[in-house]
Amino acid sequence: MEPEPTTHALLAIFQEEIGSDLIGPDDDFYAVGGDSLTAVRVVTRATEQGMPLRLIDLLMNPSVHELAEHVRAAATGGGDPEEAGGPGTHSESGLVAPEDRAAMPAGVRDALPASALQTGLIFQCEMAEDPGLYHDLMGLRVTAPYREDLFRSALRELMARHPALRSSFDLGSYSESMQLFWGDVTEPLEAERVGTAAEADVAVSAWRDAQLSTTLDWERAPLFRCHVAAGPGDTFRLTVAIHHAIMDGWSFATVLVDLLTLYDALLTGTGHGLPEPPAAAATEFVRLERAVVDSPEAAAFWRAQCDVPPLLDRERYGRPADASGRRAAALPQGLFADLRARAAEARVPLKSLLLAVHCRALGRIAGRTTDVVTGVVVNGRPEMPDADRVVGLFLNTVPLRLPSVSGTWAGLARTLWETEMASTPHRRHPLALIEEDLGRRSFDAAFNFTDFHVYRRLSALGSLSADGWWDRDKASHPLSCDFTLDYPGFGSGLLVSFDPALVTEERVDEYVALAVGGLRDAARDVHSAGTEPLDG
Amino acid sequence: MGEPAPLAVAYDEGAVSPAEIAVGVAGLAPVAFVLPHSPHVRKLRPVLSRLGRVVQLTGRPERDAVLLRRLAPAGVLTFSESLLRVTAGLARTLGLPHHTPEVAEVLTDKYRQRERLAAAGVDTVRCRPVPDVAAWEAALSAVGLPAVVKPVHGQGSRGTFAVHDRADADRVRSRLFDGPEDTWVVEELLRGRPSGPFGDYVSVETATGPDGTEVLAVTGKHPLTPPFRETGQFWPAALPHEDREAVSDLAVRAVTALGVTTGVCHTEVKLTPGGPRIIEVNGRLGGHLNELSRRACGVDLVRVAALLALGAPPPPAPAPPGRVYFQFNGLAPVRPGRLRALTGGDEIRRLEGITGHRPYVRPGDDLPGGVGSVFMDLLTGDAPDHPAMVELLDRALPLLRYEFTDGATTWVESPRRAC
Repeated sequence: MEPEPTTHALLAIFQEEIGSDLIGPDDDFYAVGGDSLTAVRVVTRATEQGMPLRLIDLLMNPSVHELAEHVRAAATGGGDPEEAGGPGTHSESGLVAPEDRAAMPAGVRDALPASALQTGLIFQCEMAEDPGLYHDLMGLRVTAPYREDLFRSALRELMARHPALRSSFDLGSYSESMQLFWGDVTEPLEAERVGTAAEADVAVSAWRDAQLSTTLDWERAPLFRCHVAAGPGDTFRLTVAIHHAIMDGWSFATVLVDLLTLYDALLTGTGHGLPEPPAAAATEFVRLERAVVDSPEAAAFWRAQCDVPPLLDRERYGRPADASGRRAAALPQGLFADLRARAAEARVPLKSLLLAVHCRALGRIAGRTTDVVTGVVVNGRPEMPDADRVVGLFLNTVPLRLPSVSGTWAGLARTLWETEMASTPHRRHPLALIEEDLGRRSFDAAFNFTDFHVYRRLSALGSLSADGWWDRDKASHPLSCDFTLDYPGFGSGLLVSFDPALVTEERVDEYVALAVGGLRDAARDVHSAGTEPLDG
Repeated sequence: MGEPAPLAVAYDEGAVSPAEIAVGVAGLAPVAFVLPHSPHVRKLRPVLSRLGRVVQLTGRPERDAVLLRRLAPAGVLTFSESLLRVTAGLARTLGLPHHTPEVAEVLTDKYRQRERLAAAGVDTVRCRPVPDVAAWEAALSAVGLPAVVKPVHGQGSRGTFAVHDRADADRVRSRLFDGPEDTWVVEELLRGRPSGPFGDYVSVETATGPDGTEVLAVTGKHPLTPPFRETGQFWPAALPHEDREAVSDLAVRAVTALGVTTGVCHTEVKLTPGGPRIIEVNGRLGGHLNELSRRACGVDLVRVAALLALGAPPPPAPAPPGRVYFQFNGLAPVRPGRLRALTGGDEIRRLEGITGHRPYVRPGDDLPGGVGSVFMDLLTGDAPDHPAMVELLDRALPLLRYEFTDGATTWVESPRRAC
């Protein structure tokens, strides 16, 4: 038992790492020139050589003799080697620092720095302490037999296809905030049998209410949930809840359509025919966003868009808006066709013309003719083939300012179009940063124009059909105005949600009437200056 | 499940190393290192993440509050001057004991600290802020010569200047605002009394808890290398009993006047012919003191600070050691240069009484130059008494040799005790 092998091996490591042959087995690691980074190397090498050590073991036992004794004791007592971490493959994008990747737990298959859009939204939720904020639900009725085994398979396939559905966030443990994509995540499905349509209604409502009263914990995957109320007969009600940080509205629609497509393929025993979503889109978004997050030009641009007196009385803003009020105005398809033609005539996109109508109505209900600021949802999805198939959070809402509501519809639309064009390079600068820099909310009303043509893919499915759509989301804006085309369960028109404590019902009704009037007016003559008086 | 609440330690370059934190806190609570973005943190992240949980701060107070609330620590603590205010903000958010943000503000602002000490009648040292170059002359004439100029926040590494005459005043003026520095203060220069082979200043570590402030130790110093460069310290200080009492009493009154209600503070005191005067109060443990304390008395001061942060009362002061325990820091060169070699470590360690030599810089490291207290290494040892310590250092230091190059020339320096 002459040269004790553990002591010998550890001494060699000490001497080589510190760089002195004169170090003896009783010397204190730090006293002979060791430092923390050297200590990490010592521990790593010792572990590689079959002497499992943690860094704290070296710090508590700083001489070779003490450390060797510790290694022997741990070997007999069942040691606790540090996990050799490191996810399997992914994240070769160069966006994740090697030491972060090395520190990831075993179940993580891939990781990407969380986008500022995502972290902004998560922090906003946390600060609001409202489990319903950015916790979105969509439901529908499916006419098809419910086969639980097949439905679970479809759901698993869906999760395999879209990494976002297997992801969680870690905002503090790494050198930057991370979205972690896990390998194995159990499909989050709750299913129950119901006998009648009324029972189905009750089951769906109960699940929705329970869901909305619980927070989806962003540190735990998955960040979505599914519920099925099967029955009566060959129908079932499907409800999906998501944390908005993992996907935007378009992606949510994609998730539902893909799920039903996969299930239909399993029912009919045919291929689903869905193309692979490009994996690089999420990475690319983070790259593009990074380019603008720290850009002083972007910050200055957005400040100029929103640094004017707000439309609403700020005194009432102790909390995020609770937009529980709803209004809907369905409009004929033909009206939108006419508006599209008028927009083309004015050489602006339809969205800009709708935005002009929205801004003027908004100015009117706020009593403002100048500096009307509205939030506008803009698309930051990277431009690449099939990027629209990717599930993720790519939509940002940014403030746009209309300096004056005077002029023709065409003129207002052109001004707004030019502003949006000027904003394009900055459009991925996240709203949370715009507002943290401003020190308050940057707008009171948000505008969105949606054409969820993804739903049209459902009509091609062989064995199932869907109807009875409903949805529930909650943004933090006092007033949200969605101009929408072909929305399932609704059609085309204007959907408004609002916080009645911040915007009265009368105001909202007035807004809807003005907006609908404006749409008709612009559809008639885009070069008119509107029919309503502007002062007041 | 069932994991005990961690002790959150806001960490950046400072008085204590990650290893000392891990060792000191072991057994009390799991450590969670709360980290700002800094080059030092980036370098040490692999160490930190092996010693505990890490939580990367965002730099935005509301967001950082969210992260800390999720961490739900049992206490918060820092040993880094630059993180005192941040830590105070987090502690307030979490309702945990620490300096309040107001106290942290006073502890990290030399001008406000002087104002507060004067208002409380603890010590009156003439002091004026110099927020911009226009304020320089008025501040200087209000304070009078000789004076000392320091940055209002932070420590001496960025430069502390003495102004003895008009020529000094003009030279210093031209250097103050040519960099991205913040505000400066001008203070009356405290003149020390003759102190033989020792520094004419000491530091006092105090521990404050619900029942008041206890003095943990009075630390003696080696003489400053001009202008204000520190070279190390020792326990116990070479002070007669009544001086030790006077110094301790002054430090406790200063800490109390600044509103400190919890935690360890480090107060530097000048020994003047008219009695002890406050140099400054720092709201955290002093640099390298934990090493000294563990070696001299077996008392872990990180553990003391951790206990206070966890709401425990301060422990009794360590018993004074029977020998003199010391540290000596070699100073980085005034001229900028790259370290080519550091030799003599093995020889010096063989000397009776020398217990360790730890380099802080490695061959190939670039050193910025200047007259701040940037250290090359840490030499540790003990001796039967104070004269024996001085004798040992004078024998040991010439054995250490630092070889530098600036590309054009190469030169060698050895650390020296100033006289």
